[in-house]
Amino acid sequence: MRKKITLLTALVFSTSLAGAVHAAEAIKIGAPILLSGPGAFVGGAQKKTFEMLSEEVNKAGGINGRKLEFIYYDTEAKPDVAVRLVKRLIKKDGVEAILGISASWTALPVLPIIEKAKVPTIALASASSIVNPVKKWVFKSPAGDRIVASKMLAHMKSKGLKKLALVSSQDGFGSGGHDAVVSLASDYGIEVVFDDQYKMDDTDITPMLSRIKKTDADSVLNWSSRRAPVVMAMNYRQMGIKLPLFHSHASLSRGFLKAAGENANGIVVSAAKFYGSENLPQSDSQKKVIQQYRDSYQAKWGEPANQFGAAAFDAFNVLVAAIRKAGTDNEKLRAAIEDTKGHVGIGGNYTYSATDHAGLTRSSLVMYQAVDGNWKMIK
Amino acid sequence: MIADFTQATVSALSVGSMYALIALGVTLIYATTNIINFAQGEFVMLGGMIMVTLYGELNWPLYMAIPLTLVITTLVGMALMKVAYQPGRSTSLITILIITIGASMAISGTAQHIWDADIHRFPPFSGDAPISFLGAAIVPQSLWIVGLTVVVVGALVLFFQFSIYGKAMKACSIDRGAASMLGIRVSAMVMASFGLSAALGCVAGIVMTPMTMIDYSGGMLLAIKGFSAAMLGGMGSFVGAVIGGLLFAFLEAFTSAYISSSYKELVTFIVIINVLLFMPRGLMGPRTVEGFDDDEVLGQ
Repeated sequence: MRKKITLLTALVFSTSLAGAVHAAEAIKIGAPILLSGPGAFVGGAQKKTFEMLSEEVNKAGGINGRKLEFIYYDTEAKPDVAVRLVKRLIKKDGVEAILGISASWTALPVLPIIEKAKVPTIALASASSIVNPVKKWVFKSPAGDRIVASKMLAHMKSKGLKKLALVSSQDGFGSGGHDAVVSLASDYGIEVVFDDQYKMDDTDITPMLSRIKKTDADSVLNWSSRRAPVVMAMNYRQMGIKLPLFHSHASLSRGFLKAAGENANGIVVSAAKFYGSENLPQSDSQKKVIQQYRDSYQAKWGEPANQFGAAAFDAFNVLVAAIRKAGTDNEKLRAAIEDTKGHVGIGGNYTYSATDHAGLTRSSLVMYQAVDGNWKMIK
Repeated sequence: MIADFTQATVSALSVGSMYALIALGVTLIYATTNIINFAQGEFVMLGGMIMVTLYGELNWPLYMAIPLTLVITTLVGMALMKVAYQPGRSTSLITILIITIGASMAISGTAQHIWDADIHRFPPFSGDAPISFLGAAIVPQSLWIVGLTVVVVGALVLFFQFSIYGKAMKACSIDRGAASMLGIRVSAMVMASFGLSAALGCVAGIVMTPMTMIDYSGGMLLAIKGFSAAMLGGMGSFVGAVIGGLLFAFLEAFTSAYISSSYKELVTFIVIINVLLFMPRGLMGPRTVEGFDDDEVLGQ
């Protein structure tokens, strides 16, 4: 029985190989993304985006006659699994480029392997530390915490705010934002007068907030995700603190507004244009790209697109443009990605350089304010 | 100065009441069966989630929503006894403990499918507007939490002191073998303790959700907090569970009010470790070894 199966698979393999030889060889792209567990919707949207886009490219005849072939692996949100899969993509599958790694903490341990194997990679994770310091072979598409923080600080400066009370959650997301804000604040003439951290699952943070009341802060910034921002919003109103309240981009969701109710009113966040694209002026170059992606995704999959898929969209288009220009030789492809200038994507206008592999500036972000259950774009 | 103190006290009282209710549930099942039930937090989650649907979305009046929520959760608790305790009883305590952890995951997984992965809340019973008291802001819901906890603990004390069922359950906790020889149906008492403990968790979920919010995955963490509070107070002691819950919350609130929120867990667990080092049975745990029962013999 076993012999039969081996024979059969050998047969199948040889025929498929024979088939591949006839047409030009496909361009293999590795997509190690998060496809299972509570974060499955992240990688799910990325996979659907890749499938949708590669289908379009292949229908049009591929790139220089070569079709795109994506190889998807599930990283299970585990760093060790991610490391194993990326090694496999490089050594066994022989991919020419990698688009992926959905979560920052699984992306970081993979970087040295990519650097050694010299495979052009565009990461879909947002942590600034992925491209800071610059890695030769690694780029990234989502806006990182540093850009979000600098947009927010610039906004505060324009409102004449000078003394900031910073609270953040004790986890990767919270401390990433915390470090970005602390290191950038002085560039905008803002002093951090209060700095404390709490746990993502704390249910009552009024004791910590009562200490903010004693400082001379003129604004409060909360950097946390999941339930924590809702608790923050409620406790903040409960304590009767009247200072302007800022939140990280993690709060920019309907779920947050629904859970926080009236307490969310007035909260300001800085984030990508994706969510509020219908409010963008026609003159905005990103508007068309965002709307088109949302519509075609909705039409193809029957569900709304999210910003994780949007990051995949940008990464795909940057890579494909670079392959069209330079082919798949790894040195040339890498140089072509680095040479991307003013690529209009969903996340913003990507301009990479030898010293910047994040590609975005804070001008690709906008400010939102919560008004009666909606996020309104503000100046 | 005084405002900080009151704010921290108010926070500690309401959070502490919540811990106390969960710790009571943990300690109740432990007292009758010697099992640590790690699915205790799921009852809190279920209580909150069912109320979100009945009261928050379907707009049922409180007097209908609360009883139905209690009934459903109590039935889940009894079902847990059927699937976890009864089949596992013939093996070892550690097996049952693992079963309760498994049950906890199964319940939260099911909840994710029934509801969703979002965070939920329903409006507080008497509005959101805070009351000012000695410079501290108090939301009316925290009064509900503290008040209901006092009522529930009082009812529990009366139940165990004066009712025949309460006494029978207490007898089972002291010596199961002897209780059974006196004609008490131990398995019915175990069933009752699972049901009662589910109801206690459910009450916690009902009163705290407007303040703390709930999602499908929140149960395990609450179970661990309740377990720690029960250990601190003395596993198996009802008074201990209440004291443990309050002390736990006071340590958390005052550390974050006067030192830093990030040292909260550190301070709290240093205190717990020290208490358990010097008083291994917790603050209010029994000082003497009880008459040996089946499980202790098995344990040796």
